[in-house]
Amino acid sequence: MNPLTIDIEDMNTSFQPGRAVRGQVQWRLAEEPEKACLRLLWYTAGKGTEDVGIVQTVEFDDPAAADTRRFDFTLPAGPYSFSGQLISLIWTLELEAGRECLRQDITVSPAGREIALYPEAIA
Amino acid sequence: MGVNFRLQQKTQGLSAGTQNASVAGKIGITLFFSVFFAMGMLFEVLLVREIVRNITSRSWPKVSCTILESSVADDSSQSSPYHFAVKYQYVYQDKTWQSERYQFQNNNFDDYQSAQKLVNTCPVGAGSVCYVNPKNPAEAILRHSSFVLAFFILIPTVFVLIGGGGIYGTWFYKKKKAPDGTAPRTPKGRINKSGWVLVLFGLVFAAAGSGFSYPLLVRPLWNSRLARSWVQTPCKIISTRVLSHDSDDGTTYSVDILYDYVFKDHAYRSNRYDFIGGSSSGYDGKQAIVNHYRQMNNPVCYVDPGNPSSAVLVRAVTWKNAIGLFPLIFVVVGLAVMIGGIVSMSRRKGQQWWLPKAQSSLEPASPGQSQYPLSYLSGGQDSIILVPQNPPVKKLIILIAIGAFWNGVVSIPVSQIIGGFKTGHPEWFLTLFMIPFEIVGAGLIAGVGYQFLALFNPRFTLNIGPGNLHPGSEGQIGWTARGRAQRIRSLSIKLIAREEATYRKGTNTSTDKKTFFEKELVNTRIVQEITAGRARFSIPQETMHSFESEHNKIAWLIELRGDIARWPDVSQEYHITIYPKAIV
Repeated sequence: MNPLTIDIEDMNTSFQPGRAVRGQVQWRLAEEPEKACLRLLWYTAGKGTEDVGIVQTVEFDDPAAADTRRFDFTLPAGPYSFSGQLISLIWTLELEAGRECLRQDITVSPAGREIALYPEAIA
Repeated sequence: MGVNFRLQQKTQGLSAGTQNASVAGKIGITLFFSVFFAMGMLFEVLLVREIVRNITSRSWPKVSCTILESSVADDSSQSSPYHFAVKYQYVYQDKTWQSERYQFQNNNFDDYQSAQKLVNTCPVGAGSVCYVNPKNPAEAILRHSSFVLAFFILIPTVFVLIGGGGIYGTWFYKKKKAPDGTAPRTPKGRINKSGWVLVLFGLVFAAAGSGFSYPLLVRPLWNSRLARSWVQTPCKIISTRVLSHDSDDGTTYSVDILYDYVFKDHAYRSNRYDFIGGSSSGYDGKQAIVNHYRQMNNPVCYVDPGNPSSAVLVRAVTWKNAIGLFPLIFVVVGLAVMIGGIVSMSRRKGQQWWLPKAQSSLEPASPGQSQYPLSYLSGGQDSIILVPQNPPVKKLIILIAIGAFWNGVVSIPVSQIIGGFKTGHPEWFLTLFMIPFEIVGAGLIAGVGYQFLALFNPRFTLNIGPGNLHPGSEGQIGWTARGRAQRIRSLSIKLIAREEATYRKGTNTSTDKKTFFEKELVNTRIVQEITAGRARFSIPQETMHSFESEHNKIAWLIELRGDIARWPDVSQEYHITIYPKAIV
C-alpha cells in the first residue's frame, strides 16, 4: 500500500487553464522525511525524449512521519494536455516525501478533456 | 485518452523488448566501453609511471660531473632527427661512473636549434651537476623532467571515466520509478541539463580551437611580423631532405633544410624553414622546395639580431598560413553551440518558455504597434508579416557550406587517386571505395546550382491576421508576389500543423514529424490570383496550440508552393504561432 496520497478537492481531475487546483496530501512513513514537497508539472511522453516543465513547487516545512498538508495551485494558460501519435503531454501533481513518490495525473484544457490531435482515430 | 493509451502501450512494449534483449545488449555495450577503459588505463599507467619516476628522481643526490661529449646528432631513422647527444662523468661513493642520459624524456627535436641550445648549455669540458640514482649509481640524469606531462593525464582519465562510467551505468544504473510504475518520476536536476551540456560541449570545442589557433595561426603570424626587422644574411645549405612522419592518419611530410650562416663573426646552424613548421600530407610540394634550395646559388636566411641563433629561410606569410584558419572553425562552432545552450536555458526563464517565438515581424504599415513579441494575453494585433523559415539565400549558403566541406574532405583522397593514375600506379580499391562519396559531392554541387537558380524565383510576402490566433479563432492570410509571377503555373497555400519528436537512437539524433492538421487555403492557376490575394481560414476549436520544448514540438505553419515549368519551384514554409486561449 502506498504510504502517500493526493486528494484533490471535489475529486476533480479535469481543469480549465487559469483555474485553481486545491486539495490535501498525506503521508504515513516509518520516520520523519528529510523533505516533503508537492510539484505541479507537465511532462511529455511518446517517441521524443521526455521534456519536463515544473510550474510550481510547494515545500512543506518540518514534515512529520505522518502528516497532512493542504495545497492550492493556480493553473497557467498552457500548455494543454494533449495526445498525438508521436507526443503526449501530461499534467501531474507529484508528491515526494523522503524516498517515496506519488503522482496524480490531471487534465488541463479549455474543454476540460485532453486534446486529441487525431480525433478521427478515437471516433 | 484513446490515442494516448495506445501510445503508452507501445512504449511499454518497446521497454519489455529492450529488457529481453538487455543481457546480450549489455555485454555488447560493456565490450564497447571496455575498449575505452582499457586504452585509458594503459596510457594512465604509463603516464603515472613516468610521473612517479620524475618525482622520485628529485630526491636523488646531487653530484658534480664533467661533460665529456656534447653534440647534435642526426638520426635519420627518427621523424624528429636532431638528437642531443651528451656524455658525462661523475664520482659516486668513490667510484667513477659515466652516463649518456640528459633527462627521462626524449631528446629528439624537429628543429636543429632546440638541440643546439642544449649543446650550448652543456659545453664539452664544462663542469655541471647531475642526479644519481642511489639504488643504481650507473643511472643518472643531468636535468629533471618538467611536470607538464602531469596535465596530459587528464586525457586518458576522460577515457577511463567514460569506459568505467559506461560499464557501471550499463549494469547498475536503475531509473527510479513512481510506485504506480507508469512513468519515471521527475528526476531532480534533470531540468534543462542539456543547456549546460551544450555550453560545456561548446566550451571544449572553442577551447580546443583556440588552443590549436595559437601554434597554427597566432604564433606564425606574430613571428612573421617580428621577422620583418630580421637581417637578411647569406647562408650555406648543408643538407636537404623530406622527412616522413608516420601516424594513425597516414604518412605526413616536412621539409628539412640544414644551413649554416655567419652573423657578427659567429657561425650558427639552423634548419628552420618557416614559422609554421609541422608536417602535412603531399610529398611532391615538399620535394620541390627541397630541390629548389638544393640548386640555389646564393641562398639567404633571415637572422634575429637580438638572438642570432634564431634564423628562418622564409619569413613571409604564405598560403600555407591559411591552415591556421582551420581551428577557427572549431572556435566558431564551439561559440555557436555555447550560445545555443545559453539561449536554450534562458528560454526556460519565462512563464511561457514552451511557446515558440513567432517568426514574424509586425506590419510596418500599422503605426503605433509594439515592436516587441506579442503576449497571447494582451489582446489582438491586426496583421503580421511572416518571415520564411529558410529563405533561398539561406538555403544556398547552407548548401555551399556543406558542399565545400564535403568536397574539400573528399578532394584529399581524390587527389591521391588522380596522382596514382598520373604516375601509372592507380589505386583501384581507393578509386572504387570513393565513388559513393564522389556521387554525394556531385549531388551537392548540383544542389548548389539548383538553389542558385531558385534565387531568381518570384518572392512572396505573406501577412496574417489577427496576430493572436488561437484555437477556435478565424484569420485571414494575404500574399503579394514580387518578380515575374506569371512564370508560376499554379500556386498552393496550405495551413499545416504537425507534431515533431526528437529522440536519440544510438549515437544519432533523429526527428520524426507527423501532420495532424492540413487545410488547403489557396489553389489557383489564375495569374492575377497568384500575384496577390487574400483567403480566410479558421483554427479548429479543439486543437493544440503551438508548443516547443527541447525535444517535442507542435508546429503550426503556412506552406506555400509555386510550380514553375523547367525551373526550381517556389517552396517556402512560414511558421506561425497559435496561442492558447486567454484566461478569463
